[in-house]
Amino acid sequence: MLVDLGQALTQVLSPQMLLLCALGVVGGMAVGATPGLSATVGLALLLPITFTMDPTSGLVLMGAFYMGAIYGGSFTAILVNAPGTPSSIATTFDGFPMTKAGRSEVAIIAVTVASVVGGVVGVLGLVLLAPMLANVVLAFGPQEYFWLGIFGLTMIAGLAAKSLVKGFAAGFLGLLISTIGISPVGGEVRFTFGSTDMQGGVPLIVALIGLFTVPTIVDLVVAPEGRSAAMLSEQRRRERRLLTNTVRDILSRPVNLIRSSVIGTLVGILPGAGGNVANLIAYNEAKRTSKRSDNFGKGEVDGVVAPEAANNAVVGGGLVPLLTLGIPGAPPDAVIYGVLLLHGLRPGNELFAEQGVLTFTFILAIAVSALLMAPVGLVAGRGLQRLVVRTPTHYLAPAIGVLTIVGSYAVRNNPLDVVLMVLLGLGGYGLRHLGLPPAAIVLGVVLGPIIETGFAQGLLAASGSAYPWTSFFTRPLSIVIILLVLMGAAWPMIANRKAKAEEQDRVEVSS
Amino acid sequence: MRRDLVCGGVLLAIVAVFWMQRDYGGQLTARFPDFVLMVMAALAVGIIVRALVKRETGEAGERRVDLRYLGAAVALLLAWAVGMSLIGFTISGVIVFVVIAQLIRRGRPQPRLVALDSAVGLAVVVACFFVFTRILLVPLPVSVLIGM
Repeated sequence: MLVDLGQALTQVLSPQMLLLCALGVVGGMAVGATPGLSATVGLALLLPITFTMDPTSGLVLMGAFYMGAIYGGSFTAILVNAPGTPSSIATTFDGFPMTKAGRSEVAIIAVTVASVVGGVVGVLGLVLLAPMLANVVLAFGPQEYFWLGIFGLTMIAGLAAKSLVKGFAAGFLGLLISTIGISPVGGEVRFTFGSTDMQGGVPLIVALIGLFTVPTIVDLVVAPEGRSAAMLSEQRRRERRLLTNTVRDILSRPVNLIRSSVIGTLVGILPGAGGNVANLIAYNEAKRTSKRSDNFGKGEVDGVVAPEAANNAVVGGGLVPLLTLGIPGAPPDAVIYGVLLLHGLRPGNELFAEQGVLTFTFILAIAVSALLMAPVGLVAGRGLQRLVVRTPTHYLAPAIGVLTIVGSYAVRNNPLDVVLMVLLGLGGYGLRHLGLPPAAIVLGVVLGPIIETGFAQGLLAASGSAYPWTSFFTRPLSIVIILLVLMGAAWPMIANRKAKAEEQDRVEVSS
Repeated sequence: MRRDLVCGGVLLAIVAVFWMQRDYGGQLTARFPDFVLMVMAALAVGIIVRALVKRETGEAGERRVDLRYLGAAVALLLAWAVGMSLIGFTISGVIVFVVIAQLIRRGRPQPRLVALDSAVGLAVVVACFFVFTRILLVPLPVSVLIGM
């Protein structure tokens, strides 16, 4: 293994491979930053190009592109409240408030540091823990996926700033939206309102673009002066040594970075979960454990660090089941799986034994790509940030509109998706004014299929027993996740009580 | 209080619309959406009851929205979504781009600014069209008249 690793390292550090990594990262960032074009779409578009390459170069380019795409999704999430990929949903929660407060450059630097650390930790997890983690994948059944989805729902407590009841109502509305179309188990058609076009349901990206971006466009049209003020303040306030200060600030809280990266790696190895779940869980954990949890949702830098560290760690984590068991952890991994098969490479132990140099070159190239995101991202990301900040509102709002329209259309090349996106967005704008947070609706849309599929498949799998539903409470891994759910649900109340007690102590001391 | 009542009412209306669309038969298919609908109805009733019991008046710190601009933004976005497949991505895009730019500029449209906005809109939309159709191979709807 060490010999293969050494040879792979020499190969990765060759100028040709470094150039491929840089090209992949830049290309991935461009696609990732475009709402509607996910990493999967970008990789699928790249697939024909890799046919002409040797297997190593093709895989290196794909790996770098994947890493760049996940990172690029954060740019638009921060700058215009439009997550480029579903992996950056949680980045909008604090990223866009930072932009509104004139701190978008800090946010861009923070996500770059987080993405680099997350990417490297994910690859370390892949190299060091692959065989052990692969066994965990096999122990994860539908019951565990069900509880993982429920665990994600506990995040609503954090998203519902004013009313927990409204937060849950918004989350359940998202769950309801996720049930539109053909049911995952049983194959029956639900809530299509007589339209065959609706049988495919509401795509997550369409819901995402609509619920996050359309309200932003409407806000810019209705009250453009708000954005102009923040823009002017950021242009005037060019802080000296912003880069070093921000990097130092983020690295001064390594626990957040490491915890989020580990969450990303672990969620990444679970097939079907992927970056869109990992970023939400990491955000929730960061908020739950932070001393500055009150600042989350208002522009807290740790609120962008956590999801971005997690989603880039998913890249390495997702390759664990792919390379060891031949199970793609997330849709982009399925495309990479296709490339492996096209070149006659079969995932499994033989891949490491017979094609060790190639496999380790691919793995190391992902780590190199993660490191390359620092220089490339700081130049390109800050360039984009300055462009967006300098663009007048009367051009920015319609330009976002063009991207949202084309992005939602590109998902399935279906004009109905554009109409759906606008209707969901306008609905989200109205519901936001009624106190229902759009972020909680999106959370429901993301988690709905995981919860429903886990629930139905869990019942089917245990149908041989007299009480199939008991299987949700008796499996060891399920019990661990149930405990996490209980902790997640109780934590806001405990934190609230703690804060009140501290406040009372402070009042007593001062009086 | 009024806002909470409207919120509860809207949620109940959504539940009612979806409930009437229930035409599935399988137990496994029905269990999850039915549960979601029932919880949503309960939460909506909870919001309404709390609003009636608490009887809070006014929403402090809430900024007033200019309904003229809100109405215009809503109408424009809806027209854009529907119009794109009828008159093509480029024509609908440039028209809406210019109208939104003029709306945000406020005041009476000036020919010079309209011309400037049209040029910027054309550049952005055409660039977007070529990137998506030529590089990313997304077949965007085109106008029969100009073919893009």
